Parts: sequence; structure tokens; C-alpha cells
Amino acid sequence: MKKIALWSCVALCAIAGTIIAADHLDAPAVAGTTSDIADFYAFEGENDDSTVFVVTLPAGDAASNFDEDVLIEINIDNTGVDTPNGVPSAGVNQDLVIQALRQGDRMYFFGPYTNTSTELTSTIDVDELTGSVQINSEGGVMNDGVRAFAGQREDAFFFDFQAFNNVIMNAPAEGFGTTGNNDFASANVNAIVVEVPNSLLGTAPTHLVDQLATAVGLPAFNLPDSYNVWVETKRR
Amino acid sequence: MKIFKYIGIAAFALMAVSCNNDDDVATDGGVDTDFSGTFAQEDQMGRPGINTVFTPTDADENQFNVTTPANQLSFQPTFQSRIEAYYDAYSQTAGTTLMYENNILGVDLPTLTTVLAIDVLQVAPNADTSYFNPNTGVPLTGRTLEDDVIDVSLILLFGGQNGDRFTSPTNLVSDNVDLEAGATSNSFPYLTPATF
Repeated sequence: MKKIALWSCVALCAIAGTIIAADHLDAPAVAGTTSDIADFYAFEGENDDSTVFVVTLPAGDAASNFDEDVLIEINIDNTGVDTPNGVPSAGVNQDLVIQALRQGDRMYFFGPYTNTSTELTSTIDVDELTGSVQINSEGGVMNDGVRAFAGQREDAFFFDFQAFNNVIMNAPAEGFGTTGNNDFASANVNAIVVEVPNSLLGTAPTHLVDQLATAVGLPAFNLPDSYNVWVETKRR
Repeated sequence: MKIFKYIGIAAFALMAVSCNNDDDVATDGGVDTDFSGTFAQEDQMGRPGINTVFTPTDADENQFNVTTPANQLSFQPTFQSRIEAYYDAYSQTAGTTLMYENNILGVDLPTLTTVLAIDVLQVAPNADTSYFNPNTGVPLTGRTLEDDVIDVSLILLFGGQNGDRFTSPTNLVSDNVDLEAGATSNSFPYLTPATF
């Protein structure tokens, strides 16, 4: 549920007669395009020495697919933020990247690797190819024990979207009711799933929240060391 | 019926780059591939719900999507004022002035919005994953497919120090929706097949 179409939803729903798939109208520049991210998940794998990354994009119908010109990048920071003089300044930076690009009926995966282009534009280092999987197959294990899947899946996201819009659109504000309705129950997504051995991700830094808490003089929460991760879509 | 239409075709046609670099063209399983070109960022996401909930204008939303995490702290004042505006709306409902209270993590609003402005998800390689569990206090170690991120977000924003500040008569801490049965699996690829 990345960016829900808070303010514009009611009008759109009136037009469409339905709720949109999980992303949900993002910022105007990207809303409804093939680069519009729906959701991002990161969790411990069924093999607990691995970390799973899931990226979803809306799948409006059975013919929908990943765009061959939209690169999906999963970014990993394994060094944390800098907090000179108690002020977080340098922020989080991409130390490793996993790239995914569909070509034909396959999804190609690169990395995790250190990419020299860590800002708003990227290129692919083809020497870092980890492998590929056929779209809508069961996926498989590629080089270095990295397991991948790409294809259409049910949207796991759940949310009473219409109630939320009512809550935040009105002043005086209304609350949620005592029951809710999952507006995403019938939604589908184009999903990539990448399960990576932790040994390929480096050593996790001090948890970002602890870094920031310490920086402003709060007691540390002593949270587990954690990577900082995020997803980007980039178009050529 | 879903309404997603892929309307970006014209836009990316204009941005398309040459794809004739033979070094980048290979054939794999009969599929011609092209990995050349420079890809320009259009969207980004770390935690769920950040951009639309906390950026007040279309221009802010667009800008946030092309701001790298290293530079996202510049959005902290915007996020803080956005939350304060929500409280103003709820104050009208309550007929009394309501302010943010330190939340169940004991975090004040400037700190909370500092954390949220850096829109990255923390995932712990050596711990069980939970976006946040108010009942057990197991926090902030990633996001599973099953995590109720909406309720967690509401609790952190509006729940106050015990997580239950606004339950009645105005419920602001739960949308009362649970994971759809059968949408996830304990084994790879963890999501279940689509049904159209």
C-alpha cells in the first residue's frame, strides 16, 4: 500500500466503479504507469539464513506484464547513517543493488552487487547477471543460491481504503467503524520475489531507529541490527 | 474490473535510448535481450503509505519519488506539519484541541517524522520479522506479507503512549480489516496465484 490515493480516490472510484489494485494511484507523474510500485516487503525466508524481497506492481488484467523498459531495483544499505554532532546528515545510501528487468518471457536478475550508479539514474552491469526465470513459472534457484520468481500473484495487501479516505478527507474527521471491508480482496499484482542468502548482503548495521534515537538523546531501543532497504523503478 | 491503463507509452517513447549496442545484446533461451541504456528513476518506496499520507501536494509527491533516501530528511518538516493538520481535523471532531502524544515507542513527533522521512524499510537478517507488534513489542525488523501495516501505522501516529488513545467514539487506530485467507504461503514464492 504505498501511496494511497487519498484525496482523489472518491472521484476516481465514482468513475471506475471500483477500487484500484494495490498501488493505488501514486503521485501524478507515475500513477497508472508501468513503473508505479504497489508494495514492497522484506522478511526472513523459510530458510532463516536468507532474506526475501517482494516487489509488486498492479496487474489490472491477465494480459498485464512487467514493462521491458522499466528496471526494478532493490537497494540495500549495509552501513547505516552518519550522525555527526548528533544530527543525522549523510543519510542512507545504496551499498548493494539487485536489478530485475523483463525481456521477452523471462525476468533477468543482476546482483546483489555494488553498482557505480547509485543515484537517480542507473545502468546494468551485464557481467553481474545472476540468472533468469520464466515469467509465471514456479521460479527457480539461480547463481550463488539466489532464488527468484516473477509473475502474476494475488495481492496480499489488505486495507479498508474507502473508510480511510473518509477518515482523512473530512474535517471534522470521522473515525473508522467497528467493522471494515478489505478493498483489495480481489486485486492482483505482477510480483517479483527474490530470496537472497544473507551472506551476499554483508553485515547489517545498527538499526536505523537506534541510530536516530541516540543522535537526538533518546535511550536506545536495542533493536536487532538491520539492513536499510527500498525499491526503485527506473525507465529507459 | 480494474482500471489500470498503461498510459506511459508516449512518455517513455520520447525517453527511449539507442538499443543497438551489440555488447549488451544476448540471446538466452531464444529470447533476445537488451540491457543497454540509462534508466531514470520514476518511483520509489521503502515503508508502506509514506508518500501519499505525508506529502500534501502533487508536486511534493512527485518530488519525493525522485529523491534518494540520502536526501529525504528535507521532507521532515513537511511530514510533521501534515500530521499536525490531521490532529487539527480530529480536534474539530472532538470539540477540543488535540495534540500528538508520544507514541507507544515513546517517540515524539519530530523524531517519528525524522524516521518516517527516511523512507527505507529496516530488515533484520538474524531476527524474526515483524513490521511492529504492539502486543509483544517486537518491532521494526522488516515487513511480512501478513503484517497489518495499516493498523500499525495508525497506532504509531494516533495511538498515544499505550496505542489505544483513539478507540471510541472516534476510532483512529484500526481499520478492522484482516489478511485475506489464502493470499499468502509459508513457502517460496510466498504469494499465491492470481485469479482474474
